[in-house]
Amino acid sequence: MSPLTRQIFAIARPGLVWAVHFIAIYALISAACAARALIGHPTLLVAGGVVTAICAALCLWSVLAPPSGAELKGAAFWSGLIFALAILANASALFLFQSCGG
Amino acid sequence: MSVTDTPTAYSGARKGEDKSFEGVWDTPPGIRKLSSVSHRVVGRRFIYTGFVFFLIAGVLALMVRTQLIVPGNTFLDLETYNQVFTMHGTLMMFLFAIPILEGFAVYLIPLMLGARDLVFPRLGQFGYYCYLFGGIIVLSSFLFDAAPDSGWFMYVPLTTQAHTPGLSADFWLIGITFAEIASVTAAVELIVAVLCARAPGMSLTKMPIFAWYILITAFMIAIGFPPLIIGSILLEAERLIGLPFFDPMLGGDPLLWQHLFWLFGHPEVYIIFLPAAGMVATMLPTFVGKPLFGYGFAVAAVVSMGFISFGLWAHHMFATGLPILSLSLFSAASTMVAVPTAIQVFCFIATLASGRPKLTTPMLFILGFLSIFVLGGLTGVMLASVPFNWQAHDSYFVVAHLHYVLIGGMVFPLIGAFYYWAPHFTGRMMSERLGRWVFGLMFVGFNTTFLLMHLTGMRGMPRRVATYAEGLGWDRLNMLSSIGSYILAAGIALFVFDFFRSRRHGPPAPRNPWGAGTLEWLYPPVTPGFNFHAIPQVESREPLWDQPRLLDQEAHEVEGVMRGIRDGRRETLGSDPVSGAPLYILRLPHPTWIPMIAAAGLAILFGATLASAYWLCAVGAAIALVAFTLWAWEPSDSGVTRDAGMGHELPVNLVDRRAHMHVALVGTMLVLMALFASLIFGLLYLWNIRPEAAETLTRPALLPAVAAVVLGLAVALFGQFTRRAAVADRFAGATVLSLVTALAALLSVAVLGLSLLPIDPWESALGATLWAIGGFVAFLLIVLAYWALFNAARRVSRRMGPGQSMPDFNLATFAKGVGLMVVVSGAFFIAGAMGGVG
Amino acid sequence: MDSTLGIFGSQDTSNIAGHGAGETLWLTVIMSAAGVAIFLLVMVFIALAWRGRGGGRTWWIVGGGVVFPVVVIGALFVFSTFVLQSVAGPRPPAHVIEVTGKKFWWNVVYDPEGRAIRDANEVVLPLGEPVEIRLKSSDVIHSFWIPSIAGKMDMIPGRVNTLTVTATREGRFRGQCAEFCGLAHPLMAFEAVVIPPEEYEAFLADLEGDARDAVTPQERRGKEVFETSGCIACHRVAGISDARIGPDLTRLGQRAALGAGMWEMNTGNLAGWIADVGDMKPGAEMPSYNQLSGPDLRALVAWLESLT
Repeated sequence: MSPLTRQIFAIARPGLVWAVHFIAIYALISAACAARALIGHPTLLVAGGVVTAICAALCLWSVLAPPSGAELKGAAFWSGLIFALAILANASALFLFQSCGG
Repeated sequence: MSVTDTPTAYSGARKGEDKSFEGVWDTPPGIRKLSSVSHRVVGRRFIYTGFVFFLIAGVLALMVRTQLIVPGNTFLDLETYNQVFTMHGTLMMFLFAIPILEGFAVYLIPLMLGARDLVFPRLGQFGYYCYLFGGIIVLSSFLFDAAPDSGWFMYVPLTTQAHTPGLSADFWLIGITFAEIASVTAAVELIVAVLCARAPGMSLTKMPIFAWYILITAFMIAIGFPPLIIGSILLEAERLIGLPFFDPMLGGDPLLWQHLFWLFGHPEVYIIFLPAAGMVATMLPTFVGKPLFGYGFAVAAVVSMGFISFGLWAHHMFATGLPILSLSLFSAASTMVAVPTAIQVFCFIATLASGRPKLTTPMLFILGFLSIFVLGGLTGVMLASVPFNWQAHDSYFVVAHLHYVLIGGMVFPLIGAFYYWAPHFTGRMMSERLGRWVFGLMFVGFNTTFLLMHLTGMRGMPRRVATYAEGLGWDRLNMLSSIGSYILAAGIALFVFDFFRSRRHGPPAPRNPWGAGTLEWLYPPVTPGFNFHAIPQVESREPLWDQPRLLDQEAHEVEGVMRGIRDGRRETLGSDPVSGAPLYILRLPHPTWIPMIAAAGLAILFGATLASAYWLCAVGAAIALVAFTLWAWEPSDSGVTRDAGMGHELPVNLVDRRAHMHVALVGTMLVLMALFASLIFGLLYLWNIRPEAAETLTRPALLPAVAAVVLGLAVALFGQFTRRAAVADRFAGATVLSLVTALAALLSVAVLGLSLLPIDPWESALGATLWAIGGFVAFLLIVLAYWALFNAARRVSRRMGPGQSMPDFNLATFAKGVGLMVVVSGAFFIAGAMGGVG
Repeated sequence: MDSTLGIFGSQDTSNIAGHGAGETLWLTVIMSAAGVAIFLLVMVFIALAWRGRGGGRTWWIVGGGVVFPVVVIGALFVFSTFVLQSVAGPRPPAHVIEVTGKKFWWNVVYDPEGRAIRDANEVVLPLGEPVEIRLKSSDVIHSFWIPSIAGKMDMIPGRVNTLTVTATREGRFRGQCAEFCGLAHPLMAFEAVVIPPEEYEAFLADLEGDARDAVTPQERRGKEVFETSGCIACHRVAGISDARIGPDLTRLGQRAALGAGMWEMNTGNLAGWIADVGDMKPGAEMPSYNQLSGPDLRALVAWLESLT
């Protein structure tokens, strides 16, 4: 893989991680809060916390170790940072409320 | 320039044609111009047609404002008003904003990237006619006195047969879905154009920023439109044959429609905003005289917006009673999208600061964009707050907000873009003096109309009301908003006048009139009808600034690859998606009527569905199928090499993952996967939200479901074997394996059907959704089987020779994608059969 | 379509008479002020940039595009969450009211699981006591919104949404359907009346009983017209009919408005409504009773007005 290809992946990867995280949190909330009530609130918090920690770490990887060598270095760094912040913001939703209903 | 040994057997050569560059690229005259596939012609058609829809929708907006100018007005009755505001939103969102921006992209992208045309010119023509016919279907509803009147958002159950009998909703669903084909085809086409056909040396980092914006937008369309297409098909099926997807009595849910609609609807807003922001990012450096500051930031911001915009859809549903936790998630995502937006705005501001800006008309519109859009963005952040949203939602505050982001974020840059690129369309400059008046009228009119609406909404006026009672504190505000809308309209009218005036009387545009840095200004803007006699090596993002040789010479003398004509064919350079290195010679089609006939066949199919003339549907479908077959039934181009000049000896139409055909197929698979995922979302959603309905569902049959999983794997596997045999030029093996793949696909259809047979789709929403999934996958399997048979037929009839294995190469990728869908569907059916459904 | 609804009270999110509206107004004011300040700040930046100051430095983008928005958005999100918890957090309700949206009016049932006291197009709330409003729909999606009291909540077929409101001021406030629901969507309003809590029980008790007896000969004739002309097929008047298709008329004369909060309740409007409802409210399911003779119509109106 050329350095530039690696850069492009480094820009896109945090976005994909964010997407996975968003889908996971949305799915967890849907599983906990809809009529079917598949999981309980503690499960929601634990699973949400684990997913968030992993995904945020993956994003920060792009921030702390941006691939070197090409002109889009800044883009990979900022993409990692923006998505890491977005992941934390999405997760904060889980931890600000005691139950599905507020 | 020399043509290397042309094998007489080479099937891709055109004989007896004009071999001059101009002759090969000439747009046919007269009525035959309709058969043109040139991106210049098709792009302009998109732009002009889109603008006509804009003017129609604008007149509808003026009717709305005139009705609301005083309380209790009787200018329009309730029914007409509902039709007018529905059509205003529909035309603006579906038939103006997206197509006109795609038109600009279709026109500009090849010119900016150093390509002679889009990579799939016939697809461009096909998309245009789908858009035109779809738009005509939607508009023709006025003639039948059946104009849609349920809002551009078409919420169920208001749009079901019970509450909207007649054809009005069908006109919307069928016409808009038809027109959306154009959006999706243009998206695939633009993804491939940006990735596969750039000037030598134009790596992704040297690409003009506009191309980044368009690339991300195109991906967003590919993923964002499918949920609405699926939603529309499900709703049309509910209306037409009574499948209960959204019926709460049978385990459906009206909110499923809202989820699908806004899964499309929210990204749509960014799909509209991003290309316009890309235009700003292109025009701004020209008038500042310095490159865009923070290119890397801008790229990161556009990529982030592309992703995050898919996580906001439910903020249109804050008042539907979703769990507070969900609201909080969407609220957080909605506020976070402000970060990439702010980065872009500050990139623009920092660019302004880095040079000496000139206050031209396009610059005025950029400043208008910055001020209006920033305000719209700020009210957007306010709306992301759940409690505030509960008050503001569906009030005039939202009307104000959305017009700030859409008119500020899209219409202002668009009018600026017309002033900027007008030389390309007319060969002449538009008036700077009138341009200032246009801007002034539009800016004052816009703010008068919409700034006040924030207050009207906070004073409690709901949206979509045909009339209101006096004395509630809304009278004067509405009067002023209406007056403002007339001023805004005067600005648009003056713009139209200026455009037509300049066509005749504007000063002729010189070469590169604004001193821009991007390649679309390389040739004199008096349009030659073709691009690039030779495609120059590109060394920077602003080649016209940094490579003085480009403008020192006459445009047609500029040095580059691909000079001249090989095999009498239209062609451009196929490049590496990342580095932009020359990879192959990309052969392009010549003018043809076939795509138009295919679109006309589909128009007959859709029109006849509306008229319930089902025999005519079959005729339309047959015409389209024949046209598509003829379209693809052509000699394969690959398998030879040619001299491309500048020391490049390149293959024609590479057989490789990086080839344009394969990238396009991957793009198409993305669309199909998004369609499939939308159906799966619907299934899981209903299963989760209505457990009591899932309990009573008849179970799918287990054994056929297991067989489907196995056959799905077989489809993928035999597809791959076919590719291997074809690439290795094993003629008989590839033919036989094609047939086996087709057989596996047809058997998969059968077992999927057998598995679903116990379920009555009219009995429950969940059952109907399972049938919809099975039907969708079956449709793709039939396409796959037809394609595999088609390839075998082409091979047997010697249309594909040695080294010409691209069709099988693509078939394998398609087979793997469809095979995956069969396996996933089979797995869901197994889960259902084992009791997981209940 | 001339209506005089302005006299029926405020429909303004800043004219607050409820806990939710009050809390939200704070949020609105602070966010608006911050929004205007940020807008002006950005405009100042553009002006500075135009004059070539601070030329194109990365910190503009980092500061203005990342740090500043993250700080402001973070603060806003936390603030908004506190308001959300205060507005929507669980509060034990003192009363329950079930409101069902219909094309194009509101069916109201007080204490639905107990006494099930029926009314229509008017919601009466006790001052200072949390009331759980259960929102349903029997046809299309409507949205229940009293801007002065609380934010809106949709009424969706197949679902029951709840909105807990606490009125903080006595008076009459106008509510309106906020989700487009078809032809007569703009003509689908209602009234919220806030009364002292000590009067609430009396109000409910009064509402629960049968309709007043017809007293005058004209009223008796009116009642007869009501019973013989088909009205009873759709309308409930306690003690006379129990139909549930149209609005409950047991206490019609007590309401201040007619046609789901749209017209002032008076003899002329009521007669006009019965005789030509299609003109006053296109899309209403009630047929126009223009075949009634003048005296019959007057008698019917007189009787309906006596139902207080």
